[in-house]
Amino acid sequence: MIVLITGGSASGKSEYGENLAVKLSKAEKKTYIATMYPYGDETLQKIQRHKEMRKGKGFETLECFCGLKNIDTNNSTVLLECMSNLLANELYREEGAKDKALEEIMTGIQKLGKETVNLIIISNEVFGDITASNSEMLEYIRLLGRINLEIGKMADVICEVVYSIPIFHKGVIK
Amino acid sequence: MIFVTGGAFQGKTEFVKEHFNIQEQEIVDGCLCEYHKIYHARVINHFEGLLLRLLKENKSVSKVIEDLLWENKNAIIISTEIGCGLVPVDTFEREYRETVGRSCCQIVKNANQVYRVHCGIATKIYDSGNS
Repeated sequence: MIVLITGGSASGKSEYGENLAVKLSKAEKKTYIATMYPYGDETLQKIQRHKEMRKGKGFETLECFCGLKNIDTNNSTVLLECMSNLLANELYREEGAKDKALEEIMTGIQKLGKETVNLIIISNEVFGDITASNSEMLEYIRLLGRINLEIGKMADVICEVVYSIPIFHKGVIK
Repeated sequence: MIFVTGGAFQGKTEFVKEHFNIQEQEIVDGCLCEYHKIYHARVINHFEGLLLRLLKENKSVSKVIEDLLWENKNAIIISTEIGCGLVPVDTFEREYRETVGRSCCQIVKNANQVYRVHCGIATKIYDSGNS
């Protein structure tokens, strides 16, 4: 099953995604793909908070800042967290795919979609407030929108998390 | 507790007044009201504004929420849904929207009903069945 989870900042989407991975997985391994590149105190704190939140839930963590297609997740239930960081890495990091970011990410997602038992992708709602954006920011928002649309087409379930409540836009998980 | 969210200017307050038969004087504005009033008011509007004030004045958000959940269990809380844009460059703004998100999740955990209002239409997105 492929599940796309979106939500605003601090909406509870990560916790929902983690619990869903635990719920959907059976005997197979659970893999957490971490995409946030650690720099500065704030991101380190964020990473630490996430590590503590998923402690005891049985995830093996794989870091992937760029090049999703190179990661080996065969036959596991994968939680990818999160698309907004992966896109920023592919666009702005030295080893990133730059103007091929969209293609690079979608190649990776299609591969994961075929190889995994369940693929849960966490993405962000960044489309509600674009007033202060310059052209670079707008391009980022556009690309994340495209990625969400493309994953949405493949997904069995699209779920938006609003302050910890899942709202299903496609399919449903009881 | 009842929690009502949705974008700015979507008719959240009007919905609350109509649906729960609320008079204007039963509503306090989180942006302006004296803090002690939130513990007795029937409706707390602009919960996000209350959080902004608390952060700016360096007051403990978690203490206020804890007291609120304890003292005003039947309150209706209205909060504008924020945090659906790019991560702000400003540190305080980042902290603010993070605080709003976490705090609203905490309120929702204790709520019997949650509504989301869009263009004046309220959708009940959660019902604990105990209300």
